[in-house]
This record gives sequence, C-alpha cells and structure tokens, in this order.
Amino acid sequence: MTLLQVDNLRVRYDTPRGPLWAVDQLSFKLESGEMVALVGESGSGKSTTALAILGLVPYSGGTVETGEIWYGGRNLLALDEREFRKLRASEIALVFQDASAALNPFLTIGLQLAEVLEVHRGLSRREALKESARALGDVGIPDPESRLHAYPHELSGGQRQRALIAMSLVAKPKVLIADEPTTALDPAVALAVLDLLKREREERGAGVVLVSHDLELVHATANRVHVMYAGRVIEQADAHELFERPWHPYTAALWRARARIGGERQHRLAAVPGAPAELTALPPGCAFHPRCELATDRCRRERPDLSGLRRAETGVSLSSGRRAACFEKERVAGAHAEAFDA
Amino acid sequence: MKRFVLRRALGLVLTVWIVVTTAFLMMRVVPGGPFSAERRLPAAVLANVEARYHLDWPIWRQYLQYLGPFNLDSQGLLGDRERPFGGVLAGDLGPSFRYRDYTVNQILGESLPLSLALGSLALAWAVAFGTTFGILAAARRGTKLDLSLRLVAALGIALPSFVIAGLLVLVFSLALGWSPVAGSSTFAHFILPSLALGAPVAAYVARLVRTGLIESLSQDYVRTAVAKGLPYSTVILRHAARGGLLPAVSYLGPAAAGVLTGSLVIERIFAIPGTGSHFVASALSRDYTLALGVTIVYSVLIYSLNALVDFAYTRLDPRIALEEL
Ligand code: SF4
Repeated sequence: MTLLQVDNLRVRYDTPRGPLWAVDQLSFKLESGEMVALVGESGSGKSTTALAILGLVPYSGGTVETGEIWYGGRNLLALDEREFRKLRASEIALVFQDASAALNPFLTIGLQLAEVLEVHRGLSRREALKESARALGDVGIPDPESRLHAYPHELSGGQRQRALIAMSLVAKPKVLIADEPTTALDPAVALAVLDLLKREREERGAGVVLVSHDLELVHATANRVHVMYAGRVIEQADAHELFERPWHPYTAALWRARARIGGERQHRLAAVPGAPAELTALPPGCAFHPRCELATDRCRRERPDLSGLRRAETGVSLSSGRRAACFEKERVAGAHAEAFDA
Repeated sequence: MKRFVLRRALGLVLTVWIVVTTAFLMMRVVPGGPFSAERRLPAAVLANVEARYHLDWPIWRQYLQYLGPFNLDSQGLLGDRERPFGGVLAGDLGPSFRYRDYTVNQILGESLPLSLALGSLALAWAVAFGTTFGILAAARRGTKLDLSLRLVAALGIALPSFVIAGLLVLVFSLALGWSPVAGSSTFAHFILPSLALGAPVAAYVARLVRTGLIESLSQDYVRTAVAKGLPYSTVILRHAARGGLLPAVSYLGPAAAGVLTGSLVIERIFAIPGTGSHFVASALSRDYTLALGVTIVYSVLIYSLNALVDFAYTRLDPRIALEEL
C-alpha cells in the first residue's frame, strides 16, 4: 500500500543573491512498512523535502511552487495550515536529530509528550500523561512514570534521544520523517534508534523517510534510495543495487569516498572531489559536470533526465524503476559490472 | 530555598552597610553643610545648631552615632528623644536636618507608602501592557501591527515622562473629565500618574519581550513544537514565551526599584507628596540624614528585587538551581 506519494515537487527560496530551487522535479513513493532514503550533500534538497512533507516550507521562508504530496487520498499541499496542523505528529511525524536542541528545556518531558495527545487525540492531561509514560517505556526508558516529571537536562544524552523518539511516535503516526536521526548520537544509541524505527515499520506498517548523508546507514537500513544533487534526484534504486552497481558518477564517487575515509563517519560526503553546486548559480547542463570526470560537451549544454539504461548488452540487469540522470550512465554501470564480474 | 534566603539576607546587610558607609563619607566630603546655604547665621547660632546635630563631632563618631545601635549622645542634646539605642541598626534614621521637627522615619513613613502605591500600579501597567504588546508584536512580526507597536514603544522610550503626563492630563482630565487632575486622596488620583510613570517601563518591556521572543522563536525546540502540530498560540505562549521573557525579567528588577522609589517629575506634576522629591531635594540641601535614609531604602529595594529576579529565574528556567545562586 502506498502511504505517501510525492509528485514533481519544486520548492523555491528567495535569497539576497536571487531565487534558488532547493528541490526541483522531485517525485517518490513511500510504501507501508518501507524505508526510503534521501541521500546527498548538504544543500542537495533532502532536508527541504522533509520540511515539505510536513508542510513546513512556508515556516522556513520558502515557497512550494509546484507539486503534489498525496497522503490518505488527499493532496497535502492543497490543505490550509489548520488542516495540515492536524496531520503533524498524528499522521506524519518528524524524528528530530539533536535531542538537546529539539526538546524544550523549560518544560517537563511528560508535558512535551502529553501535549501531542491532548491536541491530536483530545485526551485529558491525566490520560495523556499515562499514555506518554507508556510511550517512554516502549522506547526503553526505565521507570517512565518518574521520568515524566523530569526536565530534559535531567536525562542522559541517550535517554533524551529516546524521549525525543517517543515524542515522535506517541500519537502513532503512519509516516516518519527521520532527518539525520543518528548523526549526533554515539553508536549504541544510534543502533537503538534504528531498531525503534524498524519496529514501527514491522509492527505498525509505518513508512520511514530517512534523510541522511550516512551511506553505511542507508545501505544497511533503507529499502530504496534516492540520491539527490543540487535539488534533484540524480539516481534512484534499491539500496543494495545502488551502491554495488551505481549508474551515476556522483553515486559512485560517494561510495568510493566512503571507502577511502573509512572510520571518519561525519565527513564521508565531503570527500567527493570538488565543491557542491551553488544553488543560486547552477551550472548549465548537468549540475554535476564541474566535478565529473566523465563530463562531455553534451553534459555542459544539456540536462540529463532520469531514465533507465538504454542498452541491455552492458550486462547489467534492468531492474524496474531504477533510474539515473546521466548521459554516460551506461559507461558507469558497465565499468562497475566488469569490476564485479572480475 | 532556606540557604538562598539566608545568603541573600546576609548579602543585603553587607551591601546596605557598604552603601551607607560610602554615602555617609561622600556626603561629608562634598563642600557645604546643611546650614551653610541658608541666610548666613551668626557664628554662635551656627555653632549651637551644629552641636545640636553633632556636626562638631569627629567624623568617625558621627558615623558611629548614625550607624548605631548605641546612642553616643550622652549629654542628651536631643532632649526628649534621649535613649540608650539609636541609629540605623536600631531602625532609627535620625532627625531630618531640613524639616526640623520631623525625623527621617516620619518623613519616609508618610511619603514612601504613596510612592510604593504609585510605583506598584505603574509596574502593573508596565508588565501587563509590555508583555502583551511584546508578545503580539513578536507573534505578528513584520506586519503593520508589529510596526505600529514598535513605533508606540519607541515613543514611550523617547518621550520624557512629563510630556506623557501632560498629554494624559490634557486628554483624560481636562478634555474628557474622567480623572482628577492632581492630588493623592483617592485611587482615581493614581491612575494617570502611574500610567505616565509606567509608560517608559512598559515600552522597554515590550521591546525586550519582542526581541526575546523572536530570538526564542528561532530555537530548534520551537520548530519541534510547530512540527508537533500544536496551535500557534500554544507554540508562542507555552514553548517560546518562557525563554523569551527572561531578558525582560532581569530588566524589571532594577527598573522596579527605580519606579517604586518614586519620581520627582511625576510627583510634582500630580502633586503627590512621595519620596521621589525628597531624593533630589535632600541631596541638594545637604540634608544628610534624609538623603542617607532615602539611599538606604533605595538600596534595600534594589537588592531585594534583584534577589526576587533571581528567584523568578529559577521558576522560569528549570536548569538554574536555586541552591547555586
Ligand atoms: S551527465 Fe555528464 S556530467 Fe553529468 S554526471 Fe553524467 S557524465 Fe557526469
């Protein structure tokens, strides 16, 4: 069952240096129980996409120019703010990345969870707190009843993160947007967070949109991956196919850079040679061409569209739905196919 | 809590002692005395008067006599007020040098309640209007409402209080006849002066609340509140307001002390015999004891209100522990 479908999304921000399109021609689907990853460098549009799904683009100062986001038979982008508000946290929830900043330091954990249920489920404070304690227990916080009265600074870092996840899950949303859910965490807590997300998918059929630059994480957890560059999806594929046999030079570079850097978790993407595209001054043709080793004259003039492979004789199996936006994808795919065959 | 109160009480005593000592010495260092400005007195009379107020004593003895608690005036020059104890430590601020038949305690006892009443009312306006307008402006920032509120606040800060007072009297007393012009006999007499006195404070509070709130609106946790689908009013009042009010709270401590001790200008305009006029007049006329008395009241107020602000901080921000202050 398709939970969420994004069609042809285009988001504009007006900056002092001119307009920029943080997201352009973005389309993807999220099935029930699935985890779809959006991958890219910062500025690739992956976080803006997350904001758009929550209807928070106007809040961040941007404009959704075109596009539709379908959820439960309704186009979310046609909803007014009041209606959209009712969906946030109850149907579509954001899983925040930095628990020390995302929790309100002035309010108790209990209140911050309970208010979600009060607003969306119409529960009384007492019922909502009871339910909140259950949610805290579900994410593995010991003695949840007493933690209700704690302020965020009174919890350990790991517990704060768990409490934050519990807050995202407390109203049992169908779609979870996880924006770098593990970046600020130590590995043990990160694993726990991923486990929780997995449980939501398996037990309740929730869908997760994972926004991340952590390729290992994406490789290990996501079903499908959309690689974004300069606001556009430049390659989409099943997770295991994507990195093992990339079609797009950028995807290949990302994966190689990961291998080179090894242990340095945070800096994998920065290791792709060249500077990320400037959104206010995108190069003509393929936005990646200034950094691409395979760039030809055509790449500098024309923009490639997302499409499947043209020739079957490269030896790469044509999986349905797999696409890349590159004129030379046959060469990239072929090279990797040979490497694997050898 | 107990420790906090104890420490602040100790701090208060120490602070007031330092203030009294410094003020006492400074008053004596400044040229001129309480009786030198008047019509030149015959030398014998002057000596007599000065002896009556112990101005012929060495400074250290005057100081000890003023501070108390022992009355060093063994000859009983103060006539029927002779007693073993006296001075500030015994709660006696001494006789006024200018108002010959009054003690400083009597003068303050009459004027301070008026100033405190006026000041409290002014503070109430300032807090009520200041926070409401500040929150409104921040919640609707960039709109016409925000712009007009900011303009009003700028006026409130820029206009001297006597201009505001004059305008208020002109409109509400003279044109509309809703309010008495001057005096202090009924509650209605206090409305206009307290509005005039509170206006600049309200304007500052509105400004601080607005900027504080806008600052806290950009915090991650406020974004969280929005992403949780909470109504905008809850986002502002529950999630953003706490952090946004803190700067205004710290401003209000010292501002309250200033407002509560009265304002010379406002008291003159509305003919309210409060403490504000004594503060200025006593310093100019070298009424040593009255000036010191007013200074003590002022420093006690400032110190206590600052302690109150610290206490309020711990109520507003759970990360600040009372015991650490
Ligand atoms: S289209 Fe050209 S420039 Fe762009 S990625 Fe492919 S080969 Fe490189």
